[in-house]
This record gives sequence, C-alpha cells and structure tokens, in this order.
Amino acid sequence: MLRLEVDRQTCMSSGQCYVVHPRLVQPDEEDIPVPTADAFPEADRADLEDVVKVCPTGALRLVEVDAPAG
Amino acid sequence: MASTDRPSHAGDLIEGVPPAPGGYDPTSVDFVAHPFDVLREMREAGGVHLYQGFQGPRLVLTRWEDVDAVFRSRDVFKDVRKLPPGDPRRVGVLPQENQRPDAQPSILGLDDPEHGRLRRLVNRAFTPRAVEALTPRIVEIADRLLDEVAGRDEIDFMEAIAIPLPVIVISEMLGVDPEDREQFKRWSLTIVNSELRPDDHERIRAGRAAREAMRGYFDRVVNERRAAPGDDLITALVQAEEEGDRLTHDETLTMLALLLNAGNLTTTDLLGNGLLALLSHPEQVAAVRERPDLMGNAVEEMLRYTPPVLSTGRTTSHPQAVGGCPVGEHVSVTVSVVAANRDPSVVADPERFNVTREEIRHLSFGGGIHFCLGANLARNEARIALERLFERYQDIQLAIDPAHAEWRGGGAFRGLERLPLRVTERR
Repeated sequence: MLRLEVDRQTCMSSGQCYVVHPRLVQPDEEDIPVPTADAFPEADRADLEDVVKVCPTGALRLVEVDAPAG
Repeated sequence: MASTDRPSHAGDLIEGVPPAPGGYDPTSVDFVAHPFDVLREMREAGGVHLYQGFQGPRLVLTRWEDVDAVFRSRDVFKDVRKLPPGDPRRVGVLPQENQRPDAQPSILGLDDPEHGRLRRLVNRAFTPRAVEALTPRIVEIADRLLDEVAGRDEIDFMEAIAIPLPVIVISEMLGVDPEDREQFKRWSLTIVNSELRPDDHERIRAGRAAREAMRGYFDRVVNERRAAPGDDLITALVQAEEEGDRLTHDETLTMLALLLNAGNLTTTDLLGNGLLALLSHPEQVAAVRERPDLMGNAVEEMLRYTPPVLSTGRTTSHPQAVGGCPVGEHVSVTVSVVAANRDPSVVADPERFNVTREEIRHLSFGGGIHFCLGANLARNEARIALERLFERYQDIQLAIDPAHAEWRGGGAFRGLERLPLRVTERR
C-alpha cells in the first residue's frame, strides 16, 4: 500500500495536485490537499506519482506502508 | 580576464562554460520572434552557457532537468537586496531611475519567509475552487467582447479579446473599475517596455512615471475601500492591513500593482501565442472542432509550445553546482522555460504542436515557491475565451502569414502586437 504525505508548511496551495487527480486528493478549508484515503493500492501508484510530481514546492511525498490501512 | 578583486559572481564562474551563441540575445526582437532554434542548439550543446548581460555575466540553463532543479532549489534567491552594496544587480532588472529608492519588492522579488507571508494573503483568491467560481462571469465577458465585433469578417484577436479579457477579469477581482482598463494597459506596457533596455533613459523615465501613476491610482482606491468595503481583493488586503502588522500600506500598493500587471500581459500573450500556434496547424484546429472538450488540453499544449514568459532568473546563495557546473555565490542564473519545454528527454516529439498530447508537462508557470499565482486563472480564462471564439465562428483563418507575425519588444515576455483573423460567424 502507498500513503501520500503532505507537508503543510511547504504547501503553497497552488492546487495543482487536486487539479490533476481529484480522486486522490481534495482541498481542505485552507486549500491544503488532503488524501482521499489513508492508504492507496499499488494500482494507484502511477497517478500518485503524478500528484507528487506536479507539486511546485515538493510538499507531497509517497511512502510505502506495510499493513493495509482502514 | 576576471581579476580576483572583481565581484565574486564574475570571478567564480567556472572556466570552460561556453559563451552563449550570438543568436542568443534576449534583448532583441529577432530572438523573441524566433527563439527556438538557437535554444535547441544551446540545449544540445550541453545546456549551460555564459551570457554577458547588461548587469554582468549570467549562466543560461536550457535543459529541463536543470531548469526544474533551479525552480525547486532553496539555495537560490530573488531578493536583490541580499547582494552586496554596489553590486549593479541590486536594482534588479530595473535601473535605479525606474524605481523609488525605498521601493518595496513585490512577491516576485522576495524570498521566504517575507514572500510566503504576503503570498498567503492573496493565495485564496486564485485557488482552483475560487477560479472555477468565476467561470460563468468569464463566459459572460468573453461573449460580450465577441458581441462588440459581431458582423465583422475580419478582427484583430489581440484588440478584441486577448487584451481586454484578462484585464477586465483581474479588475473585477481586485475591485477596480474595468472602464479604466485602457489606462491599465498603457501603464503595464510602459512598465514592461521600460525593463527591456536599461540603457534607454527615455523609456526608463516613462516607466517610473507609469509606476507612480499606478501607485497613486491604487492609493485612492484603497482609501475608498477602507471607507466603503466591497467583496473584492482590495477590501481583503485593506482588512489584512487593518489587522495590524500583516501588511503595510506600501505592501498593499505593491501587491495591487503586481496583480494588475501580472494578470494582464501574460494571459493576453498566452491567448495570442496559443491561437497563432493553433491556427498555424489546421489539422489541430480540426481536432478541437471535432472535440471541443479538448480545449483545456490544447491550452496546456499552447503553454508548453509557445509560452508567454520565455525565461526567469535566480541568484545563487552560496557556492554550489548549477547545471552540473560548480559556481560561486551570487551567480546570476537565467532559466529558459521555453527551452526546457522542448527538451526531448522529458517531452516526446517536442517540436510538434499537438493538442491531443497526453500528460502535457511544461515549466511555463515556473516552479517552487514562486509558481505562478495566477496559473489556474490563466488556464481558465484561456480555455473559456478560445471555446467561446470557436463557438461563435464556424470558420477562423489567419489573415497574416504566421512567419511574418508581428512580435512585440524584447526581453523575457513573448507576445504579439496584432493577430488579424478572417472569421465567419455561425448562421
């Protein structure tokens, strides 16, 4: 499984991540992205990598997690 | 030869970085009109060159990887006040006469944390959600502008749509009278032109006068809004100002001038450059005619293929490797966005304009903390304007030979003076 981590300090709310894959991230009330799931299946890897790549400030990070979450 | 007592940025540039070819002259109209071949040559020759600019040597980067790395780097800066006293670059791209000695840099010329503090105050007006909410109004404005040229079989797209649409939209967002847009346009162009040639004193004086006039204008509007708040960005900034130390009055005026200027010419040029590229490729026109839902993708391809901003710059904070070359502190670096966008190591078949391209990548909005604040707005405006244009006319043809398009000025901005079209309305 894969987890998407958001560094709220580095994020500048450009919104590029939720424009490219709204299925995976949605903005909170401060327009900072929140992943739509605690962990994502391997099948989402390519899309998750897109989300990480489009961030202008590098505020997103993809982390491998062992136990399938929630 | 650089002697040891020269400013460090000159002496510390490494030996062996080749000079930029003669065709690389960002100040010339020729380069702005036809930048692609010389930039490809530079990218293929290693992607790192030395250019002797007005304010001294600059490292010019043309590979995607290097340009992207500089955008994301925390080891470079934009605030020229960090340069030692006497360094000619302390005045930024502007010569001294162009600005007041106490001029407050806009967020374009600041680094974090100052940059972040000011940017956060305006960020929310430009998020995808905020911009999406403007869609119906942008459609209305585009349609009204097209109504104004109804019945004509030849129009200048720049005059009819590309120039007025962005300035009306940003004026309404800010809360200034869109009827003053002729004035805004004159100020913006005068200011941009004044930055082209630091040795042209007449332009520089005109630029400074335009800056002062714009500042005076905003000063009046800010005071009006303080007395009678509205639902606009000026009111939001005034309220932030009143909440204490978050924003000074000077910072408010600087921010407003930036938003008006930046929200103006760049979107105008995205529209003009983009439509010229599209109409120069009839098979691509056929593709968007057949699938109007492609227009959003077409705008991304326009941004990649023919960006309104050709390059931008940073300065190294300390000795480091840039583009694989070890350089000293305070080295000026130009990153060529337009060259990176056509780097074959990132973009397949990069010289081809293709609106059906998948997962379009470009650096036309920059990157890192200075990533274009108005990116979402520019995309939305361009998509809507072109959709409405293609909806209105069943046939659109260039009324000029694209090889002889009239490009405006020199410098980092690339845009058209005119874009004459022959149009046939839908019956």
